[in-house]
Amino acid sequence: MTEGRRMRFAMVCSSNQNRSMEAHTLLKRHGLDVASYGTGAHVKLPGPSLHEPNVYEFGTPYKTMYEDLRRKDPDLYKRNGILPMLKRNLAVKTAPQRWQDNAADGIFDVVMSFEERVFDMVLEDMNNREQKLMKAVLIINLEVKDNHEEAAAGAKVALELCKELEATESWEDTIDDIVAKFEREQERRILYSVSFY
Amino acid sequence: MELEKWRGGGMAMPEGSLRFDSSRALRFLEDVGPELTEDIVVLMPTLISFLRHADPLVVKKSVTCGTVLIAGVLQEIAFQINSFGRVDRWLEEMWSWMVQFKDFVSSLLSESVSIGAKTAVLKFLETCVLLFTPHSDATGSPGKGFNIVNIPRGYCRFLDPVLLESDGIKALNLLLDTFHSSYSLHGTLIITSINCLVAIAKKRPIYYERVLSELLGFYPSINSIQGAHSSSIRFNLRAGLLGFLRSTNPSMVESRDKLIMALRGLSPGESTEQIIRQVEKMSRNLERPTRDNFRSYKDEHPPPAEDPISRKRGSTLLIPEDLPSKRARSDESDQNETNSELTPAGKMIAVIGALIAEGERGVGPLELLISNIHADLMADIVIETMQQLPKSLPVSSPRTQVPAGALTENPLGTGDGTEGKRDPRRDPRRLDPRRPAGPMGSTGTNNIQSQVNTDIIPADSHPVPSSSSLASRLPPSLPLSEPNFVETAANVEMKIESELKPLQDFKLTDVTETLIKEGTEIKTEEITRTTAPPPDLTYFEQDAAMSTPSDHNSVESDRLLQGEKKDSLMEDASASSGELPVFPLCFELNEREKREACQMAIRRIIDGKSDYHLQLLSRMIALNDPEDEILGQIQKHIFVDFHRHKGHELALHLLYHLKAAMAMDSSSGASDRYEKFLLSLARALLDNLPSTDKSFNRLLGDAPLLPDSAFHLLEELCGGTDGRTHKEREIDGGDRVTQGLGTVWSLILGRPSARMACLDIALKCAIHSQDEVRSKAIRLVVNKLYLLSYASLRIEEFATNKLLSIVHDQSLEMEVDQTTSRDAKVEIMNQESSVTSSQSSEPGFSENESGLVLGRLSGLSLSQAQTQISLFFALCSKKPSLLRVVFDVYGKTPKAVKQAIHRHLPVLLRNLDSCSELLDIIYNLPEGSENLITLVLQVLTEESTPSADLIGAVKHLYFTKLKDPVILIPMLSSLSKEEVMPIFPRLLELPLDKFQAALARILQGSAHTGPALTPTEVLIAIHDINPEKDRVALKKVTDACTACFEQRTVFTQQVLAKALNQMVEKTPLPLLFMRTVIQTIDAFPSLVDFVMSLLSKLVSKQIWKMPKLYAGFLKCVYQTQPHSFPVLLELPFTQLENVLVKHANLRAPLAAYVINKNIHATLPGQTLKILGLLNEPQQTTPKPFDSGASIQGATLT
Repeated sequence: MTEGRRMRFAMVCSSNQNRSMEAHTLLKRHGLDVASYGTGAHVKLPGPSLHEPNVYEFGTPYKTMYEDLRRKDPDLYKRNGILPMLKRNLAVKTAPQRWQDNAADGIFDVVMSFEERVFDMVLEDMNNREQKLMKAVLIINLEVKDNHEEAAAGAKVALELCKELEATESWEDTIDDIVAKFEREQERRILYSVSFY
Repeated sequence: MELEKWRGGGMAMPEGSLRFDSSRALRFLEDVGPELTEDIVVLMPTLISFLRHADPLVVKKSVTCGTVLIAGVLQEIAFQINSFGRVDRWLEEMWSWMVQFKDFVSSLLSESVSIGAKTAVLKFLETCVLLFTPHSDATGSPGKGFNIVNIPRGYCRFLDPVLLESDGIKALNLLLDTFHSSYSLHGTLIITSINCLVAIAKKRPIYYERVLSELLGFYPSINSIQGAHSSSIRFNLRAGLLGFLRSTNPSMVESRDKLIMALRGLSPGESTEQIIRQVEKMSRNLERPTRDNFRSYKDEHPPPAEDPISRKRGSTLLIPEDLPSKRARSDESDQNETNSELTPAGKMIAVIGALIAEGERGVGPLELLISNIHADLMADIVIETMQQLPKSLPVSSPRTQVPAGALTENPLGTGDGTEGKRDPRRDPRRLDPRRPAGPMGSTGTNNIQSQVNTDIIPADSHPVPSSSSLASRLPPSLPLSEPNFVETAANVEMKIESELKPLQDFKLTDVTETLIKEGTEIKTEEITRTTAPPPDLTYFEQDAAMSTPSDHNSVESDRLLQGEKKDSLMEDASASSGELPVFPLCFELNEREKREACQMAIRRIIDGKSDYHLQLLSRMIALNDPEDEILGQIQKHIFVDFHRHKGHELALHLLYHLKAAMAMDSSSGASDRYEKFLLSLARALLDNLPSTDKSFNRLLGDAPLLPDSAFHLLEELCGGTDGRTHKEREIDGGDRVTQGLGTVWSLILGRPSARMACLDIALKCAIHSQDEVRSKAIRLVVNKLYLLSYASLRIEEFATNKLLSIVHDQSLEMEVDQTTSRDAKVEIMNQESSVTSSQSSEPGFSENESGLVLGRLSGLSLSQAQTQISLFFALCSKKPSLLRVVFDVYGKTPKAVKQAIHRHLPVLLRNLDSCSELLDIIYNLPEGSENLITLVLQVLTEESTPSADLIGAVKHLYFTKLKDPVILIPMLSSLSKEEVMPIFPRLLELPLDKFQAALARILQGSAHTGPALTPTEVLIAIHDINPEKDRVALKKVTDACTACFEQRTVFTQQVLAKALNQMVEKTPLPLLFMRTVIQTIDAFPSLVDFVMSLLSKLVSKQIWKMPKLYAGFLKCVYQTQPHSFPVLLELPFTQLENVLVKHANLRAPLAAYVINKNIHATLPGQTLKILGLLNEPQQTTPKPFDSGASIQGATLT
């Protein structure tokens, strides 16, 4: 970017645990300026059964969750990959953050969501915010299933996409081509929208 | 800080700010924030100059900066007015800079700047629209605290709310123009303009109708957009429309049907349906109180007895007796609403009025405003103002009265507020020629006609001019540019109106109507009034020379319009030409000429390729009851580039018109015309457009009324009998069927009155003989329709009846076919029903028999049966309790149906999640369904282990009702040894193939418990059966043994050895033990040593005391000689003697054996004696050769 400053990216999923954090980790490792959020009302992690998820408030440190789950059933949560995931997360940041409460975190150039429902919520939230700076923000949805393997694959695509966006002079001019190219190459459905801060 | 430097450096800003390099410029822009101070004024020239900067980022940033500033400036102005009652001078100056900035920015859109900058411009325009439009919400708008309604007119010298508002409209127009031209644009721009427009419509509902019509007009063309990412565009459009749908704003609520229709078209699927359902639920909750308010009104005027949807549609139809009351109501509500919210047209009229009141100053803005007003809005304005015109205009006013001038007298004379809100253009009442035009049009059209004629003709005493005379009368100074017939519809009307103003005693409304209605009464006053020289006079002369009346007319109308075009501003025109206009001429045309003129007019409108042809055509249709030829002409036009030309809208205009005509005219002619037109439209849509196109669907969905023939068409389409050959159908891959069923589905959702008819079509297709049609229809019925509460019962009944009918009729049909007497069919049906029942009650009437009777028919019947019951089985997958019906009737069904059931059931069972229904059925198994339940159990256990519940149920069934162990076979693998053992004898009794199946299950076992019995245990279990005690035929047991021996891979020699080893220890020995031993040695000769050890054990067990076994023992011994000789020699000598008596030919080999082995010494003397070795030892010696031969012979036997 010729603006002399780098692009800021936000990775958003539902609980700020798996997909957004996977992407956050990877982008951070590659030196990009990135934050991550969840749009859900709570942070939900799989529990012993489908109907008994572990529910936490946003802002609860990953470490607390880690210890909580390790206490409850270390075998189960190790086996289903939750504990390793939490361990990874706590190395990246303290606690999951909620997208809707991130006004104080400054503005982003690109927001990337990993599920259409999340995409909708980000857009709706952006429309409900008071627009003061009139600065355009690109919001992209990359459809990624919420499991460890897919999250890892999705994060790679997200990294490529963000790198490509950062390399471009102005995303407004190139986004159609970039999206079309990624869709073709990765065979993933991508949607984008434009909102303003 | 860059900014501080400039501020610190005093007021001197560098003139050529282009000298800023990019990074400095950007730093400068970073610092310009929303906080306003006096010295920001000096930065404005720089900011404006940045709009021309070479770096696209600087341009973009500058626009963004300006967007923030303009809101800030207006906010500050509002603050100062509120706080101090005055505005600082610097702010005034700042505003004038902002105005410059705004104009500059607007021009960027048409220039080649970067997309990023253009995106920012779009946001700027949105901000302007929001700022410059009066509003009632304090939140969510830029420029907090600023609202132009709070700025009193004339209070602020530089800030005129009227001008601001017109600026707002300009900005909106620009935004819309950009959106309009977006077909070739970049995705970012399209998406941003969609989002901006949606934001405007949400925050300023006064523009909602307009924005909505643009968005809806846009969506069919999404796919044709090149280069842009169409699924993102579609998503954003959908999100916008969903936002409208969720809104509780009255105008958005009112357009809900339209939105839902569009959303379904845009992204059909469950997610959309889910949202629609949510919204409907929400709105029902909200509407309840509102509905109560209207109840009193409705009680007085009960609606016509129609279903809800057509009532809804009907409300927009012309129902004359309904009209006054409706009007009265809307008038009442108007009084409440006028003050708070004006219609867009009313608002615009107020703005125009205010501009005119400005005098000279208003001219410029007025000109701009009028040139930018959307055609639809302009049409509304004209119509509204016409109602306010005085009956007659002053006789000798040399100056044209500006129409809006009349309005200044009634600035709020918007007439019908609610009408406008409902978008009067779409209100077919307006399109109806019989409707009185406005309050003063109470006289009929004929009256108007005659009045106009009498008013006009005496005014000009010239006779009707012939075309040639007209040409000659053309003044040489006719100001004609290239003839351009189609101006915007609105401008035409507006100008017609302005031209007509000077006419004395002239009813403007009436004349305009007449003009359009007849299309032939030509007013030529403006031709003589014009002064400039005509650049293309030859055109007219040529045209005029062709003296057909129709051509003549077109020339006339051309002139009319040209003249109008020139007088673009009415005031100027009349002011510049001080002459009195010459009064119009009228032509009386005969019917044929009128018709031709009308046709030609339509052709010209169509050929004109104007964006506004839709409005023009629809008005023409409304005013002229179109003839069939014209209908045909328009219809042809509709299909040329259907979407681009808004063919759907035009078609609906026509349909509503014809429907209105039907309502007036109860004769069949009118309804025939409607029907014919609708059908030909629908057929043409099918023929001309691909099957993926939704237009056919939309047409049937939106048409005011669906005649029976439309359903027939739909049925043909769904059933694949739409007149196309089989080959053609193959080419489109059944897509037409999909299209037809898709239409059926949306009609069921969207048209409650058509529900049952459509449901019937869907159901008929669901038992269609073609597999493809049937499977698609079944998917629709089961996955979609069955979920609808109003359809589920009907579907269930239908499917059940079909099942029952074939159960009862199938056998009849065979009979009928056999007799081949079709006439007698009915009688036979009656007689046979009793026969059938008696037959079915006979247990002996087996499947095989009926199969034989059927003979050649069975194949046919099977496919028939499958056709009829597919739907039922598909329903079972949704509602497993229906399965019980199958079980209930199974016993009575003929073979073909049974076969069909057997084919369907496994598929169904594999897809069934829970088998709780089945458990119920198993617990209470209906008579005659034993075979079926066996099949069910087989299928259920094929791929998964049966659940404990299922095992329990089956056991219960076995022990209580159905003693047939066959049903247990599928369960065997999950049973334990203890459970299997008691029923083992029963299994043995089964036919051999069943037993083998059972054996396989037992040996297979389940993954958890392993096999119930090992092969060894099986063998032992078989041998343990006591035929007498267990009441099993011995034959069955031997067969079972044989079956085991056949499976050599399972019952290996080790298994056999182990089993025999265990059995030999038993007392008493199993009956078949020796038989098995013999079989074993036959099967596995290598086991001979082992067998000998067994025989030896038997000798020790005194086998000769067990006569049955002993026979087997001897046989075995005999067969296995010479290996068995040692065993033989072990026998006590009495037994040995017996043996040798029985088998005399054993004696010699045995003796030879003893001699050869030289074991005389070890044998007791008696034995030797029996062998004849003791008494005559010399006899034996010469015979070694013989004995060898006999040994050989023995082994060979």
